[in-house]
Amino acid sequence: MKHEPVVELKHANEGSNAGKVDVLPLTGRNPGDAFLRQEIEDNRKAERVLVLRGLIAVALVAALVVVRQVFFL
Amino acid sequence: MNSVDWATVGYNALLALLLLFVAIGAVPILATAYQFLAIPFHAFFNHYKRARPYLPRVAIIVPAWNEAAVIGESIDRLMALEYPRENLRIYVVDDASTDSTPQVVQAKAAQYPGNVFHLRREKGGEGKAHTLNHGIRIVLQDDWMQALLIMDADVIFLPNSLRRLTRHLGDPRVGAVTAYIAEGSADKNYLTRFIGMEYVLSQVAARRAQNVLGALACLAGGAQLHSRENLIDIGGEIDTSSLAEDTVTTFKTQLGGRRVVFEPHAVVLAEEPRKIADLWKQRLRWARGNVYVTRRFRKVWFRPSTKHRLGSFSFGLFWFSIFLLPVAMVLSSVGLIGLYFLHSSSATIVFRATWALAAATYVYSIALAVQLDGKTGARSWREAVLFPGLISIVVMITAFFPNLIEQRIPEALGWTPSATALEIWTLFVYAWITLAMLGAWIAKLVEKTWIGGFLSPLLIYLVGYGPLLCAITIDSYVKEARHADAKWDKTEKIGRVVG
Repeated sequence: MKHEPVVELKHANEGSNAGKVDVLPLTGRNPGDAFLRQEIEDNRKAERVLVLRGLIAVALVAALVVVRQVFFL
Repeated sequence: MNSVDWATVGYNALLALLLLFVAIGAVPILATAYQFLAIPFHAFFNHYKRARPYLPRVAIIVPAWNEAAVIGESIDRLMALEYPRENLRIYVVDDASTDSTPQVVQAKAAQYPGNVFHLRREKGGEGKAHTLNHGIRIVLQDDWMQALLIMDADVIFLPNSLRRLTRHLGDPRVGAVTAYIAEGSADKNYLTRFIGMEYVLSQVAARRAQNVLGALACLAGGAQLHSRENLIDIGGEIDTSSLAEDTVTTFKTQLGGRRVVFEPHAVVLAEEPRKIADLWKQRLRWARGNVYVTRRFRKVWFRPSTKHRLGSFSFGLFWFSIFLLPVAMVLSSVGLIGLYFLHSSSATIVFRATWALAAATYVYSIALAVQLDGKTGARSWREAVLFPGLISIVVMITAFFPNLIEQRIPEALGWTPSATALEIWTLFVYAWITLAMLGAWIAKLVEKTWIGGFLSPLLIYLVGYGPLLCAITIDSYVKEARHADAKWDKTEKIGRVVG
């Protein structure tokens, strides 16, 4: 296989959504199965944070409901 | 039965009808709440478990008409993808461009021999689907292509985005995958920030919910990847009969028994309109396409199937909540105003219930959405907060916190509103959701006047971006009812995207 210089991979970890990839890519263009598998796994795990984010959003609504019940009804 | 009974029956029937109108107005709110409550379930119900490392030979078709300003950069970005270069072929289908697009593409073909190809259509202007089909016919002539990526000339793919799409095609049950198209203009204005927020809500958020429920409404036209098998199964070409070829392709894929997946971690950047007039033109095309799709697939709605989920109740609810949103808004206003004159205490109760529900849904969905794309959320926080419009927020506060607006704040300011003022205010808030669409339409009308640069953004912040989209939907109903000419009005792109 033709190996090319590893291109900038900083974006692979961009944002908390994207998860963390520990396995190093073989090359920039073809990072290898281990890296790709790890990336899938990291993206899958990163989706778990949706539960926390959903709860934060629900908590915000709940706080408004409490204010309403206490001060406006 | 005497006449007094008939009067009572008539009164009760009218009351019930008006209550029904308000209830119909609440359906889109409930549908939005349902859809956004499903998003956290994407933590468990997603396609990652079936994805696998897979880097097929991808033919990329880029339809291009007078794209000289953007096409060179797009090709360079594609060639810089973290993807085996020997597995990439870019076919730029030049739709009889009259600018320097052919020269730019030919220069890139010389720079990337064997990877970039210039295909010229001498007869252009027939629409994107025809242009795509020209390229598809060529890539299907041999068996090199294993997957087909359809994109727009102005779209910039982040380096890891393609490989994050292809991994889902490792599951043969998946026919197509789509990416998150983020608004990526360097010179953002109020409208591009609203669009950026809209894309967070409609893609990063809503399409995750659609992944959970197993049916996707639309593959993004600017970034959709198909397996070769799927492309052949849907007829080996893109539908040319409508302005919504993306949606038709999405439906045909799913009706054929293949899954369509939204990949939120594959991000591409696109240039979006900076003026209401351009947005109106683009969205009118989409909205008219949706009218066509609703009609064409009329035997699919609310008819569950073992083969696909397009006929599920949930998907039908989501689809029609958007498609008929303006109708629901008008009915809601009519219902509330009618009840106000007929039985004002009922009007107060249903107004508070409906708008308090809208307030809770708005807070939950915006709070969740800004967390899903923190960068856009931080950059467009004003547009996120004011997405429904400042006046709608005041109306929601009126419903959610009884007496705050009508009584407590005026009292704190040392003013006691008269009964007439309160009546006018009440009628105004009941009618507001319909008036908002009118306000959005006025924002479009004044945009081209000398005061438009100031007044149009102000109006959109006041009446909301959502009502603007609803006003466009109404225009689409009218244009479809009149069988207005459905020509392909391309949105002009000038290369404002920065990756």
